[in-house]
Amino acid sequence: MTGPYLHVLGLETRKLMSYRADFWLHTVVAFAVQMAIAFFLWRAIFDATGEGSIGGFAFDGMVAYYVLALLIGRLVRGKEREITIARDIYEGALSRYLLFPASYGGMKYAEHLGALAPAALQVVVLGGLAAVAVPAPAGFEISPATVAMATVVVAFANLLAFLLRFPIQAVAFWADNVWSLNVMLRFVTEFLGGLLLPLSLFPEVAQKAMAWLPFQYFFYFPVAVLIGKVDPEAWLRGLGVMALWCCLLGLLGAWVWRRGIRTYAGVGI
Amino acid sequence: MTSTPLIEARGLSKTFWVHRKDAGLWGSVRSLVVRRKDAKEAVRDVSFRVDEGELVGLVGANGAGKTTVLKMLAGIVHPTGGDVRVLGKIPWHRDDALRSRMSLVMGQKQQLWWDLPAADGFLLLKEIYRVPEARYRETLGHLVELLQVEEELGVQLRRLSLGERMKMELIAALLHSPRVVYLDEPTLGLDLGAQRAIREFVLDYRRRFQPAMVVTSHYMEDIERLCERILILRQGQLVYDGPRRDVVERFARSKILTAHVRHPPGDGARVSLSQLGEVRVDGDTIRLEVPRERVTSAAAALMEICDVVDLSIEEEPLGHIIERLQRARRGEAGGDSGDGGGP
Amino acid sequence: MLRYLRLYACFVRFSLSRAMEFRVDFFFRVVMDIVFYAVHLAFFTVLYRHTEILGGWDLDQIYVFAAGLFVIDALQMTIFSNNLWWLPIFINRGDLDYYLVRPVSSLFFLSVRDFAANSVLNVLIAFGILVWALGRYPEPLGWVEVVSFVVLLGLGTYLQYLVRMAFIVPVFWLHSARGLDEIAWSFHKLSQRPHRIYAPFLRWAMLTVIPVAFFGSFPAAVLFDGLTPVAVLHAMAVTAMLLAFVRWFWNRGLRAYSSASS
Repeated sequence: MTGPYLHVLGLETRKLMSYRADFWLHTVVAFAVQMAIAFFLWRAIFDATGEGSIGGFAFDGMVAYYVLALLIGRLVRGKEREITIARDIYEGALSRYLLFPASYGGMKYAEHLGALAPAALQVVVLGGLAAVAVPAPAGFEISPATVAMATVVVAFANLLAFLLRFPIQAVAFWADNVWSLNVMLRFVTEFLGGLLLPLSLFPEVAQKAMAWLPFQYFFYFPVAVLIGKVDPEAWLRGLGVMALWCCLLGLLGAWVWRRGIRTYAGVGI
Repeated sequence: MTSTPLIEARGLSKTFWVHRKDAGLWGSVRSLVVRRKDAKEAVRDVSFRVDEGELVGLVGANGAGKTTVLKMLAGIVHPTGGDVRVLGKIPWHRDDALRSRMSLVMGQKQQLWWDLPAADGFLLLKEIYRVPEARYRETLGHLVELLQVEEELGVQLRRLSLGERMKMELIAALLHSPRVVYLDEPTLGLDLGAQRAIREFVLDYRRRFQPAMVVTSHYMEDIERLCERILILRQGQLVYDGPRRDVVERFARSKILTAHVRHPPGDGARVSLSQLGEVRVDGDTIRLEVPRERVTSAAAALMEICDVVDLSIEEEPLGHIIERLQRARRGEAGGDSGDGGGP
Repeated sequence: MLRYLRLYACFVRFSLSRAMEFRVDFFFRVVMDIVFYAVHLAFFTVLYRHTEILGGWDLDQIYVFAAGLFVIDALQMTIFSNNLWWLPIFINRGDLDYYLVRPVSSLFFLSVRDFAANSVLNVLIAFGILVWALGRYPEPLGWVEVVSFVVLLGLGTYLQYLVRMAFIVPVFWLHSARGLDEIAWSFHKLSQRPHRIYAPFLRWAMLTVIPVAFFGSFPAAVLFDGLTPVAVLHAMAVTAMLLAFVRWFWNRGLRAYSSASS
């Protein structure tokens, strides 16, 4: 039964890998620029304040945090700018999928996973380079156990990212221009998820509230798990919150989908 | 007739490069590193001229180079060789004086705004082409009346039928009274009524304003009704340039006999008929295509074999001839490339 | 010149009549930008819990800087973004033909023909935030500086367009979906932090070859440090050079387009 899904997965991978130089150039430039911003931002702050540690990170730890959050974020989000589901709906390609004897959601999740192959490659290449360039900072306790725990979180978070995007893209059944919703979701995810700032810098109250939202599981939580800042109990609690969100969003997605299909006009069949 | 031509092309050639990519992952990876290119000669050494008031048909199969020639005349495509003068200027220099006096209509691409009524698009074009208010009103009123689209002016383009849209496109192209007009497949996909309306409009426009016009079309009827002179392109080369009527005399190989008979022919009769030429029987109608030189003897034989009520003899249709010319390999079409040089 | 203004008036009028059809989009855009503004301001607010100064600016100054970013972003979305979104697609599909036969600059036509009327409200909101940030700024500000700040925000919008254009024109040769536009956006992110935090070389690049510092940081610096003849000359030189480059590059691109298409 996994046949068609595996095929879609492979096709998607191939599509991404066959992008020309500009895709790879962009990957490297985007990473370099984001790291440069984080580096100089924190260099300026550490210099201005003279503090040894901010939010539990020394300067090198802070830089390492951004490297990890960026790389892990790529594994979690996949092709995050794509709005293929919305496009299928607008352009009527959905009709074709509906004829296939396979679940549309399953197909799209396979696509989402397929998009991870280049991300995984990037993580290996860029992560390897970063490991050489940035010495392991003090206070980071990375062990096989934390790697295993973080891997579970990333796998879970990847599903969560897909489920979070699905109902938003399904808005395309009713409204044009889902891209702006997608961009909005990205802003919120990056800020509340800890890509812009480690969440340990936020006020206590905010941190408590954010533990119940799905966003921190995309960046902050997996990094914190990886560098040994999360004990097994908190880890389990985190997985529990993620499972809850997956169920909630899965149900929401299914509900929106059923309603959407009913209004779907089959434009341009 | 020695006035300077509005359009003059000399030795026009265009070669372009096509990238090739093999299927599959390996092909994709390879194309990252090496890109293979094939040269394609789209147009080779094409020369002709078009005078004021002339309406010239450019015909040929898909890929014969019609659109490329047209785009070179319009200044969109840079030729790899040869020279073009339109209104005395080089079109791909794209200077405003020339661009204000020519126009291009493409049946498969539209220029007007999809979400807006045509009237709004016309206003924009008025600004672009700096048409004075009074002349704009007069021209628009006239064109709208000719095409009978007063009602549709205020309707969003996407709510119009294909034929109505094409009429709007034509108005858009002619608002600034261009001296040179290129029509690329103006009747593409239209129903017969709309095709006829467009054709009549083009003829009327030509009569009144005497521009130089070049038209391409897949529909032979367009060419037959519109153009007295045609250019035939085959694989990028000009194989004929002259009056439309002469094409038949020069290239037609057969004539077509159509006979109505009292009784449908039996099997024996059919065999005898098929020895005369290519035969098609449809009830009591027999259609027989025979070589031109044997047309009289074939007609006599036909009358002997069947009980003929009524007989007509026609030339091979222009479309057939052109199609055959396209299939024939170079040198055996029976035509030597474009002498004549126009009327 | 006057003719181009009249053409532009046509584009704006079109877009207004079209915008009426897409009210949901209008709403989404407003909400999207409010979220964008909120995230930015919250980012700096959280950051300033741990420092008092960043790139020479305190929190009051950073709010003004951020508001300047918002104004430029909203203007960009309104005037250029739709056009720059479609441009690579047009080039790849070979849809420039009709623009090339018109007696109007194709660069002008393709850059501004699609005015995003549905973003006009965002411009107002961004200006509202700017007025708020300037209003709560405790130090006195000279009116020459305030006026030049606003003018420089306009210039920043234009420079942002030119930079993106310089990265889109390669589509003529690369035939990729969006050219190097994504890379332009990456560089653009540098502009969202004060330019004085960066290393000297990077700062120099941001003020000259890829002038992203003009997208917010440079105008704010003029506002707080005063307008100097050097700053005026600097801004003019950068604009002139980039404009000359983009026009030259565009014409090269068109040549490639017209020799490649059939």
